[in-house]
Parts: sequence; C-alpha cells; structure tokens
Amino acid sequence: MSNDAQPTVNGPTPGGYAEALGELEQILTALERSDVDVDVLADKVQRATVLIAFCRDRIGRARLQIEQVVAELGDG
Amino acid sequence: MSQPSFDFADVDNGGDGGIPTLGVGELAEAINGALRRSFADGVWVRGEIQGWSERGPHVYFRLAEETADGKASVNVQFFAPSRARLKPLLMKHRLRLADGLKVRIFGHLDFFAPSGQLGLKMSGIDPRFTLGELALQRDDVVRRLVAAGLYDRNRQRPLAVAPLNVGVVTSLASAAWADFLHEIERSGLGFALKVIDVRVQGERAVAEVTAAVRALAGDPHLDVVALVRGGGGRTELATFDHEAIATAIASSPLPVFTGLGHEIDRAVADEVAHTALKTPTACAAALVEAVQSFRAATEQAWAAIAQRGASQLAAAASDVSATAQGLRHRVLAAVERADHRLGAANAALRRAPRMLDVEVRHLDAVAERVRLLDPAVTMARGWSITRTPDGRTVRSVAQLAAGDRIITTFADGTAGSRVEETTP
Repeated sequence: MSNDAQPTVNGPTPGGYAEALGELEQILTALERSDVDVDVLADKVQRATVLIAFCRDRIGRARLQIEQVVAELGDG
Repeated sequence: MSQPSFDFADVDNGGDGGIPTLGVGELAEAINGALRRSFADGVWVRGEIQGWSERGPHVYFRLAEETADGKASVNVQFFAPSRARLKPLLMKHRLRLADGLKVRIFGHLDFFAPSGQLGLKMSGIDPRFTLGELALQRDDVVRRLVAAGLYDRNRQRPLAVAPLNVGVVTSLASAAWADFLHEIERSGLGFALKVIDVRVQGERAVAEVTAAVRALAGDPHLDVVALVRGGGGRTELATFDHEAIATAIASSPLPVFTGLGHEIDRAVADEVAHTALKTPTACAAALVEAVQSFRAATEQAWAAIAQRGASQLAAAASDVSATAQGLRHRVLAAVERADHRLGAANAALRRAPRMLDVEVRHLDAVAERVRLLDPAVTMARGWSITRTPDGRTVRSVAQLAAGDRIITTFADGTAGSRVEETTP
C-alpha cells in the first residue's frame, strides 16, 4: 500500500502554513470516521505526512529568520 | 443825644426887642461857650469817613451819615498830637483810617471863628465799632454770595494737574510781587506768568482788582489765577471783603489762589477762593508744590511703568523657561515611554520563537494522530487486508465463494490463496 502512496504525495503544494494546517485538519477529520476505505486511508496518511513535513519545514525556516532578526537587534 | 439848646442868658441884653446884637467874635465866643457847656465831656459820633486829607502832620475829613432826611456831615480835625496818641491803639487793632471806613470817634466840638465853621476835634476812637462794622459788612457779603450759590463755586473748580500758566493780580511795585516772583523763580520750574498791575488799596482798588481777576479768569491759556498783596491794615484788607472782588473770584472759571498778606484775618476773597494762603510767598509755594507733586507723580508713574514692564518681562521670561522646562520633561517622558514600548516590543519579539514551539507541539499532535491512522501501523500488529484479484477490498464473507482467488496483504508483503469454503 505505502508504495502506491506516491501520486498523492505529489498533491498540490499548499499556499502556506495555515493552508497546509487546514488541509491536515480536514484529512484527520475524514480519517477518523469508521467507514474510511483502507486504500483511501493509506493515500490520505501519505498526503498528511507530506503536509506535516511541509509545516515543519516552514516552522524551521521561520525560527531561523526570527533568530536572525533578533540577533540583528542586538541586546538593546 | 438830644439837640442842645443854646443859652444866651449871660449876653448883654441891649438890642431890639430884648434880643442882643453881638459882634461876630462875640458870637463865635458865645457859640463856643454854649458848645463847651452842652458837650462839656465831649461827644461820641458815628459815621463814615469821607474826604480824608492829610496836611502836614494833621488830617482833615468829614464824618458823614445818610439819614432818612438826607445826608448829614460834620468836619473833623485830627491833629498831630491826637494822631500820635491814637496810633498804638489803631495799630493794635490793625486799623488804618481811610475813606469809606465807618468809625465811632470821640472829640470836642469847636466853632472855628476865622472860617466860621463848626468842627469836631477828634481825640478818641472806638476800634471795636469799626471792626464790628467791617465784620457786619463782611457777613452781609458772605450771606449774599452763599444765597447766589457763589460761595463754594471756585473751590469746586478742578486745579490743572500742573498749573504752570499763572495769571497774577498784584501791584508790581509791592514787596508782595517781589516775594511771589522770587518763590516762583526759586523753584526752577517752567512757570509762565501773566501779570496785571493793579492798585490794591485806595478808591480804585476794588474796580481794578475786579477787572483784573475777570480778565485773567477768561484767559484760555491760563491754568490758575493768583491774587497777591503785601501786608497791611485790617481796614485795607477790607478792600478784599468787597462783594465785587469776591464775586469775580467766585465766578472765575479758573481756580483762584489768594495770598493777601495777612496772618490773622481772612478776607471774603480768601473765603471764596479756591485756595487761600496767608502770604504771597506761601501762595507761590502752593503753586510750586502742586507742580512738583505732579512731577513727582509723573516720575512715580514712570517708575511704576518701568517696574511693571520689567516684572512682566521677568514673568514672561520665567513663563518661557517654565514652558521650556515642561516641554523638556514631557519630551523626556515621551521618549522614555517610547523606549519602554520599544522594550516591550523587543521582548515580544524575543518571545516569537516560543510561539513557534506552540505550533510545533500542535503539529506533533497532528502527526501522532496521523501515525495512529496509518494502516501500516495496524498491520504491523498482525492485521491484514484481503483483496480480490481485481483489487477490491473484501469487507464481507458474502463477497466470496469456494474456489475464488484472493490476495492477502501483510505489513511486509502479500500472499495469494484460494477459498475452500465460506461460513457466514
């Protein structure tokens, strides 16, 4: 199953962190229903994994930027 | 006093019808004898002095009276010895005998044979009578001035703030004028004097003084009129009791100052004047003082203005510096507040990474939920998925029959098998 996840991994790149998080929430809501098809389930999990990585990446970048800006402010 | 009757009993009775004939000398003698008998102790007579005439040390005048029957007069001889004797008495009462003066005099009647004239040889005088008469006349004048509303009028005239233009009524030949002028010049102030020379005693004094006061009072260039005169007798001062002069002073539109040179008496002119001084010098001094006090007031006012100006400048300067100080404080406070806000912003900024941590935790939770849903996780625990060869997931035994081929997916691979039997 996990091998078939590749196409869904290539879903549209989210517009930003908030959009990605929104999609993640939708996926979670959908997956937590009992009648989810196993195949769909695997695809959704793959997509969710991609979105989570996206979000982590965004947070990491933001942290880096903030740290740079604060460092530039000096100790004032 | 009753008219004396002549008694000719001692005259020789040798004439017609028993009436004696006398020689003129005898008649004169008889008259004098009769007069001496009738007025043995002399006689007091009252009347007004007229035709005052000094001849050498002697004086001759008429004592006159207006009566209901017309005018009555008697000639009076006031000889040197009597004058000398009465001089201290007259001086004591500051009386100087002159025309127009009402007097009560004592004397002896004498018929002067060479001129055939009856006369009174004056040897005494009652000064109190004259003074009383003067006072009465004076009171009458004052009463009339009060009734005419003139008594206080000149006093109510405002005096110019700096009475420098002075009209002076005086006798230029007098010490009074010299004193007045000296005092004015001594002040060194810019007085401008306009002087009218008048007689201050004698018959024409009243008319001249009145005319002079009127003329100066109407001069639009003057601030004040001064009427000055040297010292003199009470009777001369009577000139200034005269109603005409008093009226001229009282009705003058300019304030009138008097300096009539008398320490004790006040003339009616003084009563109605704006300001009455005792001497010409005092009169000038009063004018000088008025100008000086104006000058002092002016200087004081300037000083006050200067002081006020300086204090207002100081106040303004202090306002400016207070404003500047206030501004400085406010600016400093504003800067401090801005600095504080900046600090707060800075602190908030430094808290930003922590906000990211919140996101990270949230994302971790989401990831955990996703992981739990992953079928791979479930299959790792021993669960498997059964599909038909065409890939459909087998959810019910009813989809299968004996002999059907099925593919089972495990966590780590697949196995193909065939169904032998089904049990619902």
